[in-house]
Order: sequence, then C-alpha cells, then structure tokens
Amino acid sequence: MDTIISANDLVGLVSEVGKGSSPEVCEKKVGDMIESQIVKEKETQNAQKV
Amino acid sequence: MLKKSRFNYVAKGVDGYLIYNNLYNSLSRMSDDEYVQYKALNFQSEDLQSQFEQQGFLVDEDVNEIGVFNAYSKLKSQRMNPVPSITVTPTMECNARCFYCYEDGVRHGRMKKEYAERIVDFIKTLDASRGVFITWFGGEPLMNQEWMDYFADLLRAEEIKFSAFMISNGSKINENVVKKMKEDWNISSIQITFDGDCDEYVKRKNYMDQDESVFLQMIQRIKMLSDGGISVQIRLNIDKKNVESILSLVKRLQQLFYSSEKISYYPAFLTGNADFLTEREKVDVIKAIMAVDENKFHINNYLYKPPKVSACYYNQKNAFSIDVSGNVFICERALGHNEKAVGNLNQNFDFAFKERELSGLRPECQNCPFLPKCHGGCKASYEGNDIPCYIDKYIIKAYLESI
Repeated sequence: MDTIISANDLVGLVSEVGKGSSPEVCEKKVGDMIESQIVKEKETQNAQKV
Repeated sequence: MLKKSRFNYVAKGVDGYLIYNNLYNSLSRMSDDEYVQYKALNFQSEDLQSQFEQQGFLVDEDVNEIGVFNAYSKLKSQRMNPVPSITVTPTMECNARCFYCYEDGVRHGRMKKEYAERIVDFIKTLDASRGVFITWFGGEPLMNQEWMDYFADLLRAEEIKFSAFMISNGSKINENVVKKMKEDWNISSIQITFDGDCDEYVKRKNYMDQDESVFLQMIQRIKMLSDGGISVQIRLNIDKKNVESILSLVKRLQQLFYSSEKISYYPAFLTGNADFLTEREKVDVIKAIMAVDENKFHINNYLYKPPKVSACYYNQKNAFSIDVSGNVFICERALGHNEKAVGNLNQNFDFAFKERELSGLRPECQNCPFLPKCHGGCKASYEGNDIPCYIDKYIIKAYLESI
C-alpha cells in the first residue's frame, strides 16, 4: 500500500479515547486536545505576524 | 478485533484503488490484491494490517468514532471564538434575472441610511474587540455604493476594525470600484458567478442593463480585480443544460488566467429545477473540469481540511445576515423572508444571544463517510427538499477517480 497523505493527529486521539472511555473521560481528553490545537494555531498565527 | 473506519471512502482510481479517510485526512493507494484483503478484513501480513491501522482505515472494534467526532464538534465549536460575521445587503435589487435565484419573489428595495447606525449599534453588543467580518451581499450590492460608503465610514468612525468579502455578479465593477473595494470597503476577496461561456452566460444572466458584450467585459473585470490584488472566486453554476458551455468557459479561463494565483473556481450545482444533475453526473462533470484545469481547484484545501465542527454560519455564534427591512437572520438564504427572521434592528438585541441548534444532521448523515467535511450541509436546501450536501464530497470523489 502506498501512503499518499499520512493520517492527522486525530487518529491517535480517537483510538485512545474512543475505546471504552466514559463520555466524561472522552470529553475531557478531546477538550485537552482541542486546547493544544488552539495554542498551536495561535503560535502559528503569531509566527506568521513576525 | 478490528473494523473499518466509518469515515473511509474507497474509489477505483486509474491505477488501483484509492482509500481516503474523511476524519483523519489519510490517503493511500491499494493494489487490487490489497483491496481484496481490506474488503474481507483478512490480511496476509501483519505489516500491511499495521499500515491500515496507522492510517486510521482500521480501528478497534469497540472504538466509538462517531461519539468522539460528536464530542470534538461540540467542544471545538464551544471553544472557538470567531469574530462577529455580519452579512449586509445594501440593496435587494439586482440588474440580473437569473432563473434560479432563491431571492426571486422576496421584497426588493434599498437599505435605509439609518439602518447603518442600527447595525453598528448591533455590532457593539457583540464582542467586536478583534474586529468584525463583513459580507457585502444583496441583490447586487454594487447597485447601492452610497450606502456601502456610509456604512464603512461609520465603522471607521466608531473604530470598529473590519475585513470584508463580497458576493456580486461583477457587472458594476470598474477601475474606480476596485480602488474603493480595497481602500474603503476592505474587500480582499470576491465571489462572482458564471453560468457558462459567452452566449450561455448572456442568456442565463439576462441582465436588464447590459448588452451582449457583457461576457467579454466580465473577463476584463476579473483581470482588473486580480491585478488590483483582490482574490476572485469564480462560482460555476451548473445543471444538465450548461455542462458543455461550462467546460468551454473553463478552457477559456485556463488559457487566460493559468498563472494567476488570485483566481480560483469551484462548481456549484443548481438544484430546485428539472435540469439538476444526478449524484454520478456531478462527479463526472468535476472530473471533466479537472481534466481541463486541476490547478484552480485547490484540491489540498479539501483533502487536508480539518473536520468541520458546524455546517455554516447558521450554527456559528455572532454570525447574522441583515436585509433591507432591518430583519436579522441566522441564515443568508432566508434574507427577505420576514417570517424566518430571528429579530429586527428596531427591537432590542436579546435575540442575538440565543443558543443555536446544530443544523442539517439528518439520519442519513450518521452513515455518510463525508460527514466530517460538511457536518450535515445546508439546512435551507434540506428544508426546501434540495440536496443539502456540500461540494466537498463530489470533488474528493472526482479527484480519487482521476489519480
């Protein structure tokens, strides 16, 4: 199989939190990932401004 | 035990099979033999199975992918804080008579001057500290430039920063307008619709005030905008009867604007009339357009697009459309339909802070592999018994069949 585009970060998140997690744990872990995405996006925006 | 991801889409390409995952944005090419193994979930080597897992094409059987996607959508939309987005209609009048216009039959008229002040008052009740995004729409917005000047000056006087987009038929554009777009109305990007090449364009736009030279003038206007630093998104409105003309137009655009990064186009399929294309025909039309000019499709924007956490402005807090009667809507397709307004500029603005429901998520969406690309699509189309799906799935299908 030839990989043309590699999977994004969500593939790890889904396999980690989607398996047997309670809805609360699932939401907490997804929330943490979104926070880190938002931080990354802000860092990228700031770097572009510089 | 492993199962196939519910977001996988498999297509027969020109050289083997392509598998794309709409949530993980992963794309791989399979040989015929690998496809057979994937289909049967029976792998001859651990290495091959592992590749499928790494790409997210296979997930553990007890993983609830839709549950995680729904949690992701809900939390991300709650935590995103977009700047207010206001669609204004300087006029609902238009000089074109397109047979498919969804504003046909709604009240025409021009925006009153005093509504500019009320819109600014409205914006002040939202969090505009990081600015506001204005969409100039109509009718044909350039038929009331006086109001646009007045409103833009008012925003500046109130020190409300704004950037803007315009939806226009483009027929009123000249050098002076391009200058005003950049300097006064803060427009960086414009959407202009084309319904075909030359005669077909003239016939379908059916302008009240333009002669048959309008098509060639429109080509000049696109160049003028692009040279002026404004991005032009050409919307190709397509149904069964203008496919050949659209392909002819694309060939023309490719020859004229191949090297211009400011010009792009995308197909939009007309619905609600007898000549709409079938799902299969839509994919074939896109393949035909791609064969002429793939460059302007910006395919990576679709393949790499992060999962959509809401369908459109309908779900986005701080996004409103306002018509010439001062009615406020959460869907621009409702403009002019008083009964669909959520409020009016003459009232207090409490309506602006009501929580919004998710649009479009129909039962069939729960089984669609393209759900992360559209989040249910257009609610207005669905309610009008039209196909609500966005263009993404047709473009991705066409692309996979072409590589």
